Amino acid sequence: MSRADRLLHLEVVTPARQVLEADVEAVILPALDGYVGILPGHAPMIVGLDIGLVHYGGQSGPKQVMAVAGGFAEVRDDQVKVLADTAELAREIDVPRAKAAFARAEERLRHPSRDLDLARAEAALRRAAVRLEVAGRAGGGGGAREGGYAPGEERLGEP
Amino acid sequence: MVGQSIRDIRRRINSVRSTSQITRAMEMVSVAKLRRAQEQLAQARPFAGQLADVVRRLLADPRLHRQLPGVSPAVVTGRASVSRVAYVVITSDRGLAGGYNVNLVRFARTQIESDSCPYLLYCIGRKGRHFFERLGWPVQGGLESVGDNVDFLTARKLGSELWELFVSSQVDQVDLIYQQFLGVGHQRPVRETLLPLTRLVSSRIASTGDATRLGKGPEQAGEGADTEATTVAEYIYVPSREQVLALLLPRLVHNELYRVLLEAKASEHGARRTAMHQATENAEEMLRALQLSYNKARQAAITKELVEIVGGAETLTAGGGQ
Repeated sequence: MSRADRLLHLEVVTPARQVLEADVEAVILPALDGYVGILPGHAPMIVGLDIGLVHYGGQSGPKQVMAVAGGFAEVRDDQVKVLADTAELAREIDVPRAKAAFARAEERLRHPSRDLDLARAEAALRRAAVRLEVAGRAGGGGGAREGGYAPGEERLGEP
Repeated sequence: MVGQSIRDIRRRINSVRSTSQITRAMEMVSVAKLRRAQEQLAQARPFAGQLADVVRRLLADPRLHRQLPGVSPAVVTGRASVSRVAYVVITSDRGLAGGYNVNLVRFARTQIESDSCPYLLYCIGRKGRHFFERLGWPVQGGLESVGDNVDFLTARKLGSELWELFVSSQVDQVDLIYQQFLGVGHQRPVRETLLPLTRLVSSRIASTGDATRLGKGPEQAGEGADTEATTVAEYIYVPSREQVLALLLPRLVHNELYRVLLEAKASEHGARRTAMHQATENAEEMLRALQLSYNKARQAAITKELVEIVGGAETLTAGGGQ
């Protein structure tokens, strides 16, 4: 079978639920040291994930995006398993909430108090930014709360 | 005198009836909460299964087996001697759950006493904490209350704490003591080792046991065994083996703790459902008995009145005839 006929089986799970299972032609993952593209026939790999976007999809390159924060992914036998701390599809993202989180984190960084945990505030800012970007790319459709976007998950990235 | 007793019986009927309404409502609530906990448990399965699979494949890498870069190898292999144990006892916050808490706490006490080695005690749930405090045993920490919705964040926080405890050699073993969920109203106190991760990652027997518990099909387990040998040694680690392991292993702990918390929660609601169901049935039985004595008393009163009337009338006719 030629590489073009093969598909990657992409599975995205978080501790709380399974987020996505799909056959796709390519996946781009937000690795800790930069984005990594994966096509069928990729060598076995384990990747530590950063806060970022997972691109996945069809014919002419990756088309869909989702937001993940932390975790790792395993690539093996044309299967991509993303085990993320949190993951949301574009339609699951609560835009007003992400905007509020973004503003809050920005405010905190702009006027740092003495006991500010800088890394934590930055992580919060990045998570919110990623969510907004994913929602924006999907055509601004947001605010939907399908898929069990549990309130607890919002804070998961914070220690 | 008879009227008094009728009123008493009626009062008791009312009281028993309202109790049974409460127990019935609590039963319904437990059914709903149990369903939710079971759903959460089911939703947590894919992640738990995948995570355990990945870690198992990774640790099968001969290069990693004895030395784990970046992580204390004791996390996987265990320490040669166990001189201090941390016990995590998981109970509920509220009672009215039959023997749920009592049995667990008794089990925990026997376990800890028979180990008789220095320990740290962590209590999750108010009931357990109160029990051990009354006993005068020092409770190191844990969670005062979990609430009905177990979220991963809670598990992660406690998990990190326990991880630190182990890695910094304050304890050599972390054991969870909880009520394993075997079905609605059917649970069993068990003790499982959380750290070191030996049980979770290394033995093949344990892994298949886990696979069935985690609801994974046998075909998947078989597939894992086949491909393991060929793919395992060739993993590319991004950014590095050290960092990947440092990411993976604590997550395994957090996730296992999350699963156990959910399972304990399911057991709790199952136990409460059964207890409340029984209470409702007892109340209904009592109501039937009370209703019977009420009817008897009422009938007796009516009969007595009739006798009096008839007696009175006879006296009258007898008197009129004379």
